[in-house]
Amino acid sequence: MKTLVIGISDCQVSNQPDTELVTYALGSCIAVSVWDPSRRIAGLLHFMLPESSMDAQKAGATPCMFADTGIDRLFKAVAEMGAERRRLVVRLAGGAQVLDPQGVFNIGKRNYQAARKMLWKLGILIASEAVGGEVSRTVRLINEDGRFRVREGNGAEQDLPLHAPSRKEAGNGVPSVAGR
Amino acid sequence: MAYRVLLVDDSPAMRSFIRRVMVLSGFDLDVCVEAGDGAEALERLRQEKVDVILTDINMPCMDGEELLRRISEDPELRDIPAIVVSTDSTKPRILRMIGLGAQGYIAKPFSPESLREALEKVLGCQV
Amino acid sequence: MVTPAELTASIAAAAGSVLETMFFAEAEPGPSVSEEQRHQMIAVRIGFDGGLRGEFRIGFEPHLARALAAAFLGIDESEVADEEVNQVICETANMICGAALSRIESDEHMRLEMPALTDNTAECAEFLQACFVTPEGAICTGVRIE
Repeated sequence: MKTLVIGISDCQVSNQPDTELVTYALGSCIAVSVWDPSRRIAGLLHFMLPESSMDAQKAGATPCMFADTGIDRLFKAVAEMGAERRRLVVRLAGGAQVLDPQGVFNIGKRNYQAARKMLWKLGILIASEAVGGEVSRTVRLINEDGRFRVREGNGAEQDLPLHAPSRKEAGNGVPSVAGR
Repeated sequence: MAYRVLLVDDSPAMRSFIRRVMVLSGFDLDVCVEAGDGAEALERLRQEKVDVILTDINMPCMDGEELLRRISEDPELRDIPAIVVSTDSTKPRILRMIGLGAQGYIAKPFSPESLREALEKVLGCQV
Repeated sequence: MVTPAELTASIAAAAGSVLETMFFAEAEPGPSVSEEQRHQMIAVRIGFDGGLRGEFRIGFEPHLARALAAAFLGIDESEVADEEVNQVICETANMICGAALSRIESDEHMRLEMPALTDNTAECAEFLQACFVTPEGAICTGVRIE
């Protein structure tokens, strides 16, 4: 298996089935993973700040530093390889408050909101996510089968599902109140 | 499968939001009928067959609770699944709407993903 | 019986939740806005009754209103029509007030009227207020009990 390592403010894509995309030490940063199951095209972005308007010059030089320009770059890159947006499975990880436990700067949360905002604008719903908390995360996206494996702290790897489960109600058929 | 949907909400912006979520969730919308209140919704139901109804509660002319009551009393309409999408998430209201046959209840504000989940659950599918 | 202070606190919590969930925005509590800022805001009034009777008023700085509409509709700010801005902020105010009422444990069933755009020149003293700041501008929530 070939491993592509994505650093901070970076994104990479692959159309090789025997490839995994990895990024480490997601604190307040967010990893955005995309996978086209039909064409086996995978992409992974590791961004650190929410809005490119914070520093237009830096956004020009390093678009993957920011949620909006980074996600745009990621989607363009997989599209160039032949991925179709409507088929993409999109999953998020990160957005923790590891260096800011009191939530003073809230960068993790702001990054998460910025990612959601950009994805909604692009017409994408999130399949699953592992965000928030106070723990650093490492993630792997395996192109062969689309597994998105998340390790939180020193814990075991867990797979984020390809699709949010539709929970069946237990017993009485009374619907729960969904919202957030 | 192509779905025929009735969206009932006095806010055009909210109807647009819900419609967008349905399309982005992968639902093939054969027909998407919209109504601004319960009375208009009943009118549209007499004209169009639909597979699912999404309705707000607090609306002028006829609110969502009265709408569901009328639907539940009509043998031609009572089997259409209905999902409530409302700011009112008080227990008495939820219980009344479920008692009138609501199969899903989404409290505003809601994320697009939570609406998708409710739709898939009620329509018994994963798109 | 629900107190005005409870209503104000409930609105504040509801505003944060609404902005975060449906507009991907984060609002921090902020200072009261100036009279000039308040007059320039696009405001929505929503009456309520049942137990308590009165009025909510939610004001949005114009740039924030447009940014919220763009975020909600998933389009660029330049593409948002003025009518769409008005529709979105009416629905935003409706969600904030409805969610606020739902948070209050009360024996009386409180009802909301339909939201309506209004000018924002009502005397501040009439309204208990809570203001929030976002990167795009301020939002002010207020309640007046009759």
